[in-house]
Amino acid sequence: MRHLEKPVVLDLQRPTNVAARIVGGVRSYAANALLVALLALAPFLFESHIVGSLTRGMIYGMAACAVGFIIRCGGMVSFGHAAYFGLGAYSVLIAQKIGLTEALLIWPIAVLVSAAASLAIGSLSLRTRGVSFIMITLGFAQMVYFVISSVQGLGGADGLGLQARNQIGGVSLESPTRFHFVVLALLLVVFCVLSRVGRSPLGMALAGIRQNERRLKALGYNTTRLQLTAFVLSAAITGLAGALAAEFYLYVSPGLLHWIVSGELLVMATLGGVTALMGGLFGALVLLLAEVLISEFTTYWRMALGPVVIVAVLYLRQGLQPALQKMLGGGRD
Amino acid sequence: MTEPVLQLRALTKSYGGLIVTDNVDLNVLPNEVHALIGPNGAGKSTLIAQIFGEITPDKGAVLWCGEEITRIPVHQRVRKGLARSFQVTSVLPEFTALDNVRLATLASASSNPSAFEVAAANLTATERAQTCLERVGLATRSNARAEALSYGERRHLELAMALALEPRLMLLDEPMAGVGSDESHSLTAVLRDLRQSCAILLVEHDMDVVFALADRVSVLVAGRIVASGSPAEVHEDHEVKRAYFGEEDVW
Ligand SMILES: Nc1ncnc2c1ncn2[C@@H]1O[C@H](COP(=O)(O)OP(=O)(O)OP(=O)(O)O)[C@@H](O)[C@H]1O
Ligand SMILES: [Mg+2]
Repeated sequence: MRHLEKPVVLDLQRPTNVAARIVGGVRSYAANALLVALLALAPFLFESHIVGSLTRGMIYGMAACAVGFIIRCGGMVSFGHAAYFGLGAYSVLIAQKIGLTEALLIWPIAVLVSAAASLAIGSLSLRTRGVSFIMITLGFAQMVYFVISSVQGLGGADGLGLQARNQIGGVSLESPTRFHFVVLALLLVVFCVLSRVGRSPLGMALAGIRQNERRLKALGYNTTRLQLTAFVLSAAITGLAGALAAEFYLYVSPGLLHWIVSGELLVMATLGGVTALMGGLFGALVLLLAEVLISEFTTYWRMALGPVVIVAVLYLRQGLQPALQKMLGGGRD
Repeated sequence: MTEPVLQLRALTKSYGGLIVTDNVDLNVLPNEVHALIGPNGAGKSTLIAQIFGEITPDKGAVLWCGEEITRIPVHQRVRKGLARSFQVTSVLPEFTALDNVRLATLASASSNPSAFEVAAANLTATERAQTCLERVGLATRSNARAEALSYGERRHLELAMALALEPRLMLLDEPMAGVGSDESHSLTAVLRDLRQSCAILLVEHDMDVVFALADRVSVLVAGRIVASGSPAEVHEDHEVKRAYFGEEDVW
C-alpha cells in the first residue's frame, strides 16, 4: 500500500511561488488582518466610548491570548491568571507610589514581577497535572488575592486610584487615542512573540506535550521544565496586560486579582478558540460587545454570558477565530 | 569481554502484595538483540518501564555502561542513549509523520529546544528525520498527519522516532502488537536493519520474529527470569516448557 503512492516532496524543497504564498498567507490570516485593521482604524471611525471599550478589549484579549497559549502549547489550563494580571496592575500602583512615572521603566517591572511570581507558583503547580493543576493554580491566585487585599497601604479591599497615566518616553498617554495605539502596538508585539515561539522547536515540543506528554518524555524532553518556560512567558504577558489595565482604569483594586477574572480570561480564550494565535482577542472583543449591547437593556448582562458560551462551544467547537477564518475562505493558522 | 550496555542487578518491584519484578538480573551487550519473552502479565512492560525510568524499582540497580542510573529521570537516560517504543502505539496524532520524527531529531540535537529559531527551517533536523522515515519505509507518508496513518504505519513511525534519537539501546515493547502478517514481515525487516545501528531489548510474543532476530532470549514468568540463553537452548529448556510453554505446543 504505502509503496504505491507517489512520493511527496518535502515542503521545504518545493519551489515556492512567492506571489501565491503571499495571497495564500493573506487569505489564511484574513480574519486576523480584518480585526487588526478595525482596531487600528477605530479611533477615526467610532465615538470615544466605543474606542475605550475596544482598548479594554485589547487589554483583556492580550491576557486571554496568553491563557490560550499555554493550553495550546503545553496543555496547561490555568485558573489562576488573575494573580499575574493583578500583580501587573499593582506593580504600576506601587511604582507610582515610590515616584516613578516612566512607563518604559514601570511596565517592564510589572512584567518581571508577574514572571517571578509565576516562576514560584508554576514550579510548585507543575508537580501536578490536569484537574489538580487547575485547582492548585486557583489556590495560589486566591492566596495572592487575600494577601494583597489585606494590605492597607495598597488600599485594602477598596483599592487605590492612580494620580495620572504614566508617560512613555516622556510622551504623555493622557490622550485615549494615543493610549489605544500604544496598546495595539504592544498587542502586535505579543502576537509576534507568541507566533514565533509557537513555530520554534520549543513550541513544537509544547504542542507535543499537550497531545502526549509521555511520548515527549520518551524523546528526551524535560517536559516539566518546558511547561514552566511557557507558563512564565504566559504570566509575563498577562502581567503586561495587567499593567495596561491599571493605566486604562487609572484605578487598581483587588477585583483585578479575583478568581472571576481568571474565569473570564479562560472563557475569552475558549470562546475565541485556543487553537488560534489570536483566539483570545476575538473572545475578549465579542464578550465586551455582548456586554455593551446587552447592558443597554438589562444590568444583568452576565446572564447572557452562559448561553453565549454554551452555543459557541456546541456550534463552533474550535471557537470563533477558526470559524471566521473558514467563512473568509482561509485555512487554519 | 565486552562490557554490557545495560545491566540489571537484583531488580525488584511489587504492587501491594503482587511481585511484578522479582530479583531480575539481566544484561544486554552492544549490538546484541536480546529478546524478552513471557506470558501475559509476566511483568515485561513493567520491567521495560523501570529500565527507562518511568517506574522506580523498589530494590536493585540499573547500570548503564557500568554507571548506576537507577534513579535518574527519563530525559537524562535518553541523553545517554536509551530509547523506547510503546506496546500501545504512542505518536503525536495532530503532527505529520515528519514532524513526529523531527521532534526526535530536534531533541537529540540540543537538550534545550530553542524558542526563537523556526523549527521547520532546521534543515539538518529535517533531513535526518526524512532519512529515518525512509529507513522504516514511510518516506512517502511524511506529510500525512499521524492520525491519518494506518495502524501498521503508526507502528513503523514509532520505530522511526526511536531510531531518530540515534540510541545505543532500544527497548522495544511488542513492536508488532496487533499488526497483520504483511506489516509484520515489513516490521521484521525494519528491525533487522535497526540492529545494525544499536543494541535491542525486544519484548515480543511472535516466536517466529524472536527466533529470526534474537541472539539471546530470556524468559520472564511471574516477574522472575526462569531461563536465559540462545534461542535454541531456551526452546529446549525443560523448565521453560513446563512453566511457560505449558504441556501443549503453543506456537
Ligand atoms: N500500576 C500497577 N498497579 C498494580 N498492578 C500492576 C500495575 N501495573 C502492572 N500491574 C500488574 O503487573 C503485572 C505485570 O504487568 P505487565 O504489564 O508488566 O505485564 P506484561 O508482561 O507486559 O504483559 P502483556 O504481555 O500483557 O503486555 C500484571 O499482573 C499487571 O496487572
Ligand atoms: Mg506488556
